Amino acid sequence: MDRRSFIKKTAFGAASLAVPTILPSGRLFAQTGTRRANHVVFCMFAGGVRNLESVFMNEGNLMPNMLKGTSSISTDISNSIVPTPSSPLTKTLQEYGTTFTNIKFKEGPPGHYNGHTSAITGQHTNENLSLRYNPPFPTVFEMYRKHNSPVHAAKNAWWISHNYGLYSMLNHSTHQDYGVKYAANQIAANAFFQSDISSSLRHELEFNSQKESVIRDLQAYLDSNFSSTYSLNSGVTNSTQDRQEIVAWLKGIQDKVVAGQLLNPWGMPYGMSADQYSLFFTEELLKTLKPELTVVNLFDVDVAHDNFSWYANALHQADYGVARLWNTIQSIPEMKDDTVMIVMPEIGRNEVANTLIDQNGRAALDHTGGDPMARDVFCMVVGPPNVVSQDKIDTTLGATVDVVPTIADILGFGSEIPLNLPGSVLQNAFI
Amino acid sequence: MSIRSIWFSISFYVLCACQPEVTYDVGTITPGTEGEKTELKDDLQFMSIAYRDLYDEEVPPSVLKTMRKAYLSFGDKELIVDEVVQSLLLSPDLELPTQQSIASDPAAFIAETYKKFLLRNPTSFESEFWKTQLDQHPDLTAQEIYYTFMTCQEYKYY
Repeated sequence: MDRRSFIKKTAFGAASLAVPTILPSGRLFAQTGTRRANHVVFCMFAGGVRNLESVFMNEGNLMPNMLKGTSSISTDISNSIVPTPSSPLTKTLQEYGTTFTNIKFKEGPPGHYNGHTSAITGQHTNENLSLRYNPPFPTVFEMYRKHNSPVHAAKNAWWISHNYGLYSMLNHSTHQDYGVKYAANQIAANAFFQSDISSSLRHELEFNSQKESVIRDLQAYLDSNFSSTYSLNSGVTNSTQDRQEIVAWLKGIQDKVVAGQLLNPWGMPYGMSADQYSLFFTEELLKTLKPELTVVNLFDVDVAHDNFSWYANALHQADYGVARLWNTIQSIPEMKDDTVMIVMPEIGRNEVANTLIDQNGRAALDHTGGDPMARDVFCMVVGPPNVVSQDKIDTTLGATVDVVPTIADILGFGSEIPLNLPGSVLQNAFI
Repeated sequence: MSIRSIWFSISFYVLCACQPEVTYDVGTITPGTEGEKTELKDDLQFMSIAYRDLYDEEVPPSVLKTMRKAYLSFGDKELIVDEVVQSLLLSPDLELPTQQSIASDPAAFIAETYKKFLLRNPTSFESEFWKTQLDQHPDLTAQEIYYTFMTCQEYKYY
């Protein structure tokens, strides 16, 4: 081998080690593991859903967009079910993937925050879980951002919480090796895009480039005269460029809110539910920023504490919204056929009803530790046919803590996680 | 009960269900003597102080509620704080010094701006620096100068 040939081969060899993989979509990432897909959307079908009313269809098929079956909705509650438009999908969602019907919320009190925390951290929780602080275990967002090479920007990970109360804290943990440095972006979209915030915050100072440069110099001058180093009080940090993209997205939505264009963007015959709005804003986020990891939370079904019929209706409304979300994902070129969506409630609800009777004579449902049914949920994994087993029902025992390792496996960083996660990859979902 | 009224009832209930009531007290902070600042304002203190500095009055509860909701609803806190500062500066209710008044007595404007936001007088060097800047950039508005002060490091401390 002459010197020229040696250098050439060495250079190619080195390049093959150092150059990141170029995907057909044109995006770059250095390989940390084989990916099944480049996008995951985890739709937390939350608020507490029993398998009886969902996958087992005891009240008829309340979720006709997601589940196969034509059984009629129980006549005594049917007057409380608000009609939805016809399905945006050509077949039911379950036919796009695998539905697990025997998933357990295995340990800890079956409360919402415990359920959410388990599903997002992949760790079991107990009664010591504080509702005032971020969880002690790393979230899937932090694992995703930390265990990819190069480390993924916050813009690629989003937690869309249903409100701005304690659930907004689930975008990062307090774990010393992870924490806010690897947090996801978080938005309580239904609150953030209300008209008061939208009309107040949508305007921005506009500087031309010359003025911007002057202002930057003046800021630098002021900062040079002050010795303390500013540290962020809290919260996720985006790069300047990513922040500009995010602000542009926010402003675009806020302008539409103020113009009254988002009063019923799906054109629902009787207006949109809170869950449907959450899913609508998720669609808008996906269309614009195309994050790799998105978790969106639903919650309307928790009305079941007081009113069973409205719980059934909330399932019906969320069903339409989730199908719509999947349809929208398929309309985004960068995400079409490259996205796995996981749909799972965080907990179930009790078998034994409480004492509140609704307008149709049905008893309401709580979720408490002594009732095994409060631990039973389903999990649907849908995706491209070359990745996810299509139209399959799987009855093997699984757990809500399996979702985090499954997401890690899809996005190729499962083997990089140094933590002891109690769950396992839902392998039966994949080809 | 019509289907529409059922729907509104459901929506109302859902908004109220499982939502723990949170109260937040932004408290009171006192600047150090001679403009010495060692403590970082927390973000909600920062926003309510920014309002007070611009409008010379305590932030009304409705405005604080909106700022707090925006703050809690979005994860990038620095982004939201910056958005709030910009929106306060862009409010048509805010009375700002005119270009004419700045030009007529730049030294007074500079001194007032330092007192307003940094709670101290400018040093002679700072005063000269700003006078030069205002000379060189006569199109700088009070709004832009206030923004510069409100986004500097020193303003984040008390």
